[in-house]
Amino acid sequence: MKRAGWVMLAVFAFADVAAARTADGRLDMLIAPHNAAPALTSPGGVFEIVATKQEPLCLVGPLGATPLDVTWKRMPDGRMRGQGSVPPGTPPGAYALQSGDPQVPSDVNVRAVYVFDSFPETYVLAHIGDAAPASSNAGKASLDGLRQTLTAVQASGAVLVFITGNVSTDGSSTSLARFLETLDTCALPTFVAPGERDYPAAAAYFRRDAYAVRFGQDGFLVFDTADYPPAPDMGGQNGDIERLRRALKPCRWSIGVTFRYVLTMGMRTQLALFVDAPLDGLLATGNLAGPDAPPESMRRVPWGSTLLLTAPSAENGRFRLIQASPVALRSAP
Amino acid sequence: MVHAIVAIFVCLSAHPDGRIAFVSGPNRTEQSVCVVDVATGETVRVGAGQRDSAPTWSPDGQWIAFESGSGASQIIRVVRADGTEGRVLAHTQSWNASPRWSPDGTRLVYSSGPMSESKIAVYDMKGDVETMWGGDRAGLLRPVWVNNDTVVALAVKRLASATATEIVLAGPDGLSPLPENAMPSKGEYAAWFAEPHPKAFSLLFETNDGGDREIYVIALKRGALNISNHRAADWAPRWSPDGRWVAFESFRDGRRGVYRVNPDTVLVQPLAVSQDGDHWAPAWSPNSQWIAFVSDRSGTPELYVTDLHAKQTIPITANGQFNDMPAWRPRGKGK
Repeated sequence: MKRAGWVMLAVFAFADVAAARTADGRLDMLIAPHNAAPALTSPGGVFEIVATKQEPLCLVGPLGATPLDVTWKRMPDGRMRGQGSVPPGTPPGAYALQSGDPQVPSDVNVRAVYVFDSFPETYVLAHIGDAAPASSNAGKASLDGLRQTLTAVQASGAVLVFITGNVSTDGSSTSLARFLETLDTCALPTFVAPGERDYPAAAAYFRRDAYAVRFGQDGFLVFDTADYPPAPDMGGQNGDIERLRRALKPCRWSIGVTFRYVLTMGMRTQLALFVDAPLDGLLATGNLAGPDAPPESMRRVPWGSTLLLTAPSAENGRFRLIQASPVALRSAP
Repeated sequence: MVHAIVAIFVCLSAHPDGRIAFVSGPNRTEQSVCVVDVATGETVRVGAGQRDSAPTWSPDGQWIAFESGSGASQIIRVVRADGTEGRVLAHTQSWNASPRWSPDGTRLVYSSGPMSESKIAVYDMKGDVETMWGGDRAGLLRPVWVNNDTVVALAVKRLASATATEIVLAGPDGLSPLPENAMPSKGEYAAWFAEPHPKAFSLLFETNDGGDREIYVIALKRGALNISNHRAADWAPRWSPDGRWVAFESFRDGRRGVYRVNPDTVLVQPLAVSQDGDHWAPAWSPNSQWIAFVSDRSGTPELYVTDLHAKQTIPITANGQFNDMPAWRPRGKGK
């Protein structure tokens, strides 16, 4: 009943909303949250917004537009960071984040905010790996396959969906835009960690190197693998990962989400995630030896206690269900 | 007192000079090694632009070695500092990282192979020959020269339920771990970033001994001393060339910042910290009076230089690209 309600709410919520993003699918004025990294919150809760400029915002759901109270701060690069407060009494469901005049919106991010009335102690999440095989003639077929996979995921009992790259067939803007269109056939919150093939174009479609998501007592740290060595030792991403990992320390389960774990991953990130404050689990495409290894394997990363939860390639509609409960994080029956 | 005043005056009135190698590009995949003249800002691209990383100067300041991508492999390239000449080392393994020049400038050491199988490779630049040091042991990472015959490295230790690292001294014929009683405490910890003192027999490294990442100095008579000692992560220590200071990165003020500490007094001083962005990758000038670092407080990672007292901070790049990994040219011969 609850699941059917979610799907219906999502359908109603987005029926009248203008197309999100730019014409070719890139993020526009509203940078976060969006349909590949939505905010999960509750009535009276807050969530973070990043935009290129400050404008009035509202949540658009099945009952119409609800103005948001936002506290803004200018970032060093001129963009604006806001804390949006969800009005008490907001019904649970999926919402679009809309800027400007409610009648003439300047930008809309569909499926950007999910409001929950409560967060279950035991729940199931779905993990889809390699949503787009790198075949030159696989474009339409892979999108049809992904659509079917998402339909199956919605019928599976999962409440969250994590997709670890590659999500485009060739890293082109067209391929990324089509992926996002297909993603919007899913009513559940969807979180994407793009793969190396998706870059550099993916930066304009997802815009975040690393971010954290809280779902009730649990926390997810999503980080991309833009370069061949995942999470390389250079750049600012290591600092973001360390800070986000510390913030998720009090969580019941803390789970990393990335394209893949390989032994050449940047050592600084390995130390932060698997040694100094070991994650409980890591969702990744493929396993230690890369995507060619047996997809059914469940192994630990070599550093310590972190469980490596790998998803098979989504080709042929495959995905993995993982149950998080008070006693364990494991493959769902 | 007079000396202190003079030192401060000299520091404030001086302007940094010399050249800094760094990586720069529109994204991480296309980053290339560049060299910037600190005084004029003139920048020359000398790298291949294929995931270039970790530039390091030869002791005479004439050459730069760096990691570079080659398809699915990672190789070490060497270029002349003006970009007029270059070569690719002939590796036996497809994954090579962390190059460092020997003190006499005739060889390079780097780790070769993925983490669990990595060996210490020493490359003779004249003979064009790569040899493996450290005996049969695998899982050897981030080697750094102690002298022309010895390197210090981190060795991966496989345990029953986990993996740790230990510090080892390695030569052409084998290696020996640092004795356990030289370490801060007994146990299985993950040490990293071991750096020998530039002048004395003393070793700097970071470890998670004690529950979070801290920076330690091991000296002959003193044993192991925690010189960072904070509940936030402290990592990536670098000796100043005169051996008096250690620059490091820390999260103690919330964001990632650059600090310095005197290892004798354990007095920590902030050099580049802001709530508007992160600061990382400190690199000392050859006279130990200036520190280059990276900051993203403008929105993109750019290079800056600051003096020892953080009174004078000078932007070095402002190109809106991804700039990282500064390495100041040492005092060598030539321009």
